[in-house]
Amino acid sequence: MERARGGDPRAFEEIVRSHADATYRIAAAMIGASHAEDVVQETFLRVHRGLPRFRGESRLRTWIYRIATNVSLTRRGRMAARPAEPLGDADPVSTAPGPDAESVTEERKALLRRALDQLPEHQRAVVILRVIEGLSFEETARILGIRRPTAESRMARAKDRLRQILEPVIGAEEMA
Amino acid sequence: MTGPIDPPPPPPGPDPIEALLGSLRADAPAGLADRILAAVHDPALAVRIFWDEAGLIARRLLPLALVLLLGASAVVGWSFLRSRATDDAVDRSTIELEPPIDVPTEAPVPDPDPDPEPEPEPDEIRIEHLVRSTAGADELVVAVSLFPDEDR
Repeated sequence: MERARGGDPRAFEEIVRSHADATYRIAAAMIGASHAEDVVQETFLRVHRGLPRFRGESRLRTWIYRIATNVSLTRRGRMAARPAEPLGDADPVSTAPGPDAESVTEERKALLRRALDQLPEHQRAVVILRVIEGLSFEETARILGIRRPTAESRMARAKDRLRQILEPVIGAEEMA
Repeated sequence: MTGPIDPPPPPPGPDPIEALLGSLRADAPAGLADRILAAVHDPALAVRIFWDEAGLIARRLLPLALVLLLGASAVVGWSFLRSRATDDAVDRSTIELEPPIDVPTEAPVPDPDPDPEPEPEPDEIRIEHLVRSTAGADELVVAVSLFPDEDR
């Protein structure tokens, strides 16, 4: 860390290799895979510039994820707002494995992404960091600059909303 | 005697919503770190980010600039209307101060029987001199007034 702050390119390379994949996952969930790599590049450019000023008050990965989240949210807001399609008319998705299991999985992922897109931004960010990236509530709250109870309540509301959205298309038994 | 012991409840499984969402974890593309390292040292990325940020700031400031412009226009318009209203009030007060001009439509008809002017009261101070002529037999009385205007 100290070497990276001092401008050691090898140290910075280690940071990139350690955190690039997770940063990509966050960005892909936030903004979509087609823009995720741009977000990751911009994130690490900001990390490179900001390292001399990084005081180490939080974990390095928390700081990097925070930058990635902010860059993703900024880009998402800048992109033309595309209204999310309602899921009500979609056919129920079969979960039984079959010859088209891969395409069914892709279809289900698309449904999940559209359901996630219907959440308010502040709830979506909590779900992505907590569930998709598997961070603790404590770290999720630190990344988003909120208190832990706020993160927990946002998560609970997001799950309720997702259950309402997904039950008609995925099936109540699977959501139970 | 002890009855059969209930089996412990099964441990709660993963939240179904969380399990579903977990499938959205994307795999990072191969060679991502190398491309990041190349991009970080590429000035083109820095330039692009600079212009992106400049555009973002401009977009954020645009509504503020519009609000300021509208506010300034409203103030100027209000001042203009207010000054006009003040000028109108001054004009109205000036017109009211002037006496109305009476334009006769026809020649005035003379009064057929105007009231005679009252005779001036005889002056109290009136000095009459009696001049006695001694030439004739009859007496001649001449009244001489000291006020020739009234002497008619």
